[in-house]
Amino acid sequence: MDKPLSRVAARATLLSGCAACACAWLFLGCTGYMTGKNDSGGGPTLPANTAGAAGSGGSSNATVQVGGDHAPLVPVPAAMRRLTARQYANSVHDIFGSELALTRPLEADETNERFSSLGAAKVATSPRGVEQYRDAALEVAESILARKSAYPELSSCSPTSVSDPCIATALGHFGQRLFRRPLGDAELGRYVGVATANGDQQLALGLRYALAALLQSPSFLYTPEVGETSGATLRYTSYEMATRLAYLLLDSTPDAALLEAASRNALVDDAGLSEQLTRLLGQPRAQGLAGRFFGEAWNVNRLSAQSKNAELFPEWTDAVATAARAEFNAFLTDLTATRKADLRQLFTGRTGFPSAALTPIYGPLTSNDAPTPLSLSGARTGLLTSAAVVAANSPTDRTSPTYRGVFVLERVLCVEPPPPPPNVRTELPSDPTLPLRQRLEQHRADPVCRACHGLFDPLGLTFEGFDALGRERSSDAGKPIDTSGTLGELTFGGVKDLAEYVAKDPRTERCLAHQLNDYANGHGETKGESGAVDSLRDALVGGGYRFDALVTALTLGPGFRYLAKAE
Amino acid sequence: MASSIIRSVKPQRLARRTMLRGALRGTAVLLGLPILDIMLDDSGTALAQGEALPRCFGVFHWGLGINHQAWVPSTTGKDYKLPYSLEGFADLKDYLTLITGFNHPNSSPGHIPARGIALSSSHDMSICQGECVGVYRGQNHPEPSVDMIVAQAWAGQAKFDSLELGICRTGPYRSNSSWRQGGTAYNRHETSPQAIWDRLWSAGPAANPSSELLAVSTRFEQSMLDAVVGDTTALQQRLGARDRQRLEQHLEGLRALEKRLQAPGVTLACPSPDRPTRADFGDEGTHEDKEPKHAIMAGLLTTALACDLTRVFSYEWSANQSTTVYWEVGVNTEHHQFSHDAQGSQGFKDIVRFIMKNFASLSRMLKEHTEGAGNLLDRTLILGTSEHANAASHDYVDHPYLMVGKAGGKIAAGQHHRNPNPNNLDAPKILLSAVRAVGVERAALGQVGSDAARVATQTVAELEA
Repeated sequence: MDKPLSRVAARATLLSGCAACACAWLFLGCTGYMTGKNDSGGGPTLPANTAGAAGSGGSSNATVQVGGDHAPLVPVPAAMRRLTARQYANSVHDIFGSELALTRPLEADETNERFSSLGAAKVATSPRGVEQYRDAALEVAESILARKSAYPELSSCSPTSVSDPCIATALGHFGQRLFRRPLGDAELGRYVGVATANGDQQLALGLRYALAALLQSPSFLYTPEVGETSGATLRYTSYEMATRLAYLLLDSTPDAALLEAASRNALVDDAGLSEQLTRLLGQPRAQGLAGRFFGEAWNVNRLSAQSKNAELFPEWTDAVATAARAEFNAFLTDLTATRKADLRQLFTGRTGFPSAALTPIYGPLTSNDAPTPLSLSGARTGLLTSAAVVAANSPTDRTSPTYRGVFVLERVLCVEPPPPPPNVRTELPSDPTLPLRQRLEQHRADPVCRACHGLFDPLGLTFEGFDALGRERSSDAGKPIDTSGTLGELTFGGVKDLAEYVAKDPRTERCLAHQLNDYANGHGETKGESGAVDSLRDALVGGGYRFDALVTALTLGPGFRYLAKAE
Repeated sequence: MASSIIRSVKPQRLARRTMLRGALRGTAVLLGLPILDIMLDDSGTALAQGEALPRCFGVFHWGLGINHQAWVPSTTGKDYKLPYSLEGFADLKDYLTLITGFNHPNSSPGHIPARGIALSSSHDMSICQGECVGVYRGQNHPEPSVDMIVAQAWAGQAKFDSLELGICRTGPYRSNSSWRQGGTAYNRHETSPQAIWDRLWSAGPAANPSSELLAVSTRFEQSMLDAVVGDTTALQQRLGARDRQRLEQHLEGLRALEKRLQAPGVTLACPSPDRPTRADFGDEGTHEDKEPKHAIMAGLLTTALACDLTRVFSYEWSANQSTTVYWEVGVNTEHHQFSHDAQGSQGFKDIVRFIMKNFASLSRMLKEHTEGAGNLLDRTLILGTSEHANAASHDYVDHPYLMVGKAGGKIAAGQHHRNPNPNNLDAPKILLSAVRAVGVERAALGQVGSDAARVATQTVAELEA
């Protein structure tokens, strides 16, 4: 059962980072959470696995070895995920053809969580959302029937009698694609029953409603998982694995080959899984995985044409925002798919991928309309100082060392500062003649503020050479910019120093493994997963810091393949 | 079609024939029909059959609190002077109940748990999985928000159990001030006036075939819903408790669709305003056109309440931690950042005043919809609040609450009531007062099992008429 977690119990000190740099943190008095990291420092500890089922006994909750000296995995109960709006659209297009127009809006994805997959694993659909699924399903079904000659299962299916076998054949075929598994007899019977609800009359209309019913089934809209026993453990079935792989790697429904592999029960062993993984990783959609993952992990998904105040920054247009995001994706595709290079180049890489539309940010560019490799100059370093990352981690109208410092702590090092304490004044001194650095210093004069702002503001100040859009600048409030900063006792001359530091900090490796584990599994890392995630980090390091090494270790690893029985 | 009898959102009379047509179709007399004089008793204050007029309940939520200097009047009672923030209510003062000086028990700070405090007196960390990373995120509000408490008590009484409408879209959350079950089951506020219109007054896709197909379509639609319900129920049995509960929420939506299908003709009987023509309001940008959108939304809502299409609404002016920009009052910094940088500034006070002016204009539309001797606002109660009191310090001290409307005579409207005890933790009682005022008999409201102060078992007596 769930237990209320007191703040004291939830504390894990910042000490639990790397040995080399850890001592620098302590004096600050700002307790944060090393996200997902097992607290072995003897400080206050967390209750084991508050999620509930694991550890409560029963053969299906057996632990699974993870390799190395790491603690075995305590599997986590599955929580079905609702397809995101994009996954819904991708799935419908992959099954029925991309020509299909989808004009009906769906209920918004849950955005309260860091990753959309975590929100999708919690969200329930409101009555209005159910209505929207109905409207969308009827629209899709109507479009399918309007172009039925495009589908072999429908092109010659014009039933005049309820006993025409093409009804069940067509619904069985589309049902299998939509549900990502074959339908049981009773299930299929329900949908045939819809098509034949008016007897021999209006069977074409009946087929439309039957297809719409399939499209509204929770077996399509969610990814329910129950697993199967395998010895003492509970593992995801081959069909469940097909779904897990497809939505992780392709952001869409399993293709026919993946379902075929599942039908041979080939996705519960390493060999069959590896074969499909290799095949899928070669597909263009899979090459977008890094862009999707880091887009969420680094806050870049929220970036849009409207992210900046139009009165202050008329240069920030739809074209600029789009090009900034395109550069972000191009950088990641180049790094993780084309070159399959060391992920630490996220911080220290020397090449950007601007298109000409980014001239307002980077200065005159001779590149063309597509992202084009360009050597970085000035203070720019890796993806860390790209227009997309800097702009996404700035407010609408100015820079914020606080946002940027929290970004590096939370999203790069996985150190989560606690929320601000209650009843603390947060107004900044408003003297506009002072640079932000000085105004923040005044704010930190208050010891209550300093406890945490003393941690992230000096970190974020290294980014002060970039304005709210990510343009380089040399002055603030008429005074030269000072880009020096600190992290505990470490000092940095500027953002390049910081980038080199975080590239070497072992917390960065652990953070990447932790974040991808959360993203792929749809839940926050539990204590019982700590060893499994440590072993993912090992695989990343041992694989030359390549993203595909991490993805491979994750999808073949036990955390992605074993579950605990849900209560 | 009886549509286009009401061409605008302004109150108009319906032809008697239209009303009778609705009644002859066998629907409940009130379903989908405006309250007409011919349906009222001689005094115009109740239905001719002697039943009380149905009450309406709504929440008006705005993000990021208030500035108390411009919010709390210096005197209490009926003859107080409206504070700067609330001067937009000057002509509605008799309908306004300003409640100040009420505190919530303190809590984990931050905007996300805060809306749970403000709207359900609950917030619960128990939902977090694993090690509860980021303890203040993803929390559970075990109580439904007050609008949903009322909607669930009144389920099935009107065509739509509730409506959720939103104005500002810019921000990390956009819509999360109405939930049926904490942490998972949020209602998403519709921010497109056209989409609201389509939902309320158009028949929807595939539901307007030629008349000879209507009966057949209805049969197929029923069969389609049966199949989905059957599938959902079968799937539930294979899943764990959490997923079962989530599918139970899904089933609620399916059942609502079924119920509407079984009451055909309602849409035809309810006169529709014209479909709004404007679609672009700068949503999610730094120049959202809030007031023009609000004017249309409030008009549609007024018509929906007058037609008894719904009796419960949540009107999210802005979500918690909203990042909309109030360019209308000359502030260029997004609201959340501005609340931290400059909560004491004139600009911040002007923002609150601007929001309240729009709250007043919604209230005015209800008041101007006359029904017999009274008006729609007489039988309505709108509870206005924000996730925080002082958002700069993320607190719940002297939390802003105001009620607009008379709840069918149950609220002693037209006064400023201030809690005389500065150390009270009485704010949860306001929530209980609000739901009881519209006749929802709840023994208690708030998070049971948390500290006792979160659970209200008593109302605020001074608010009762």
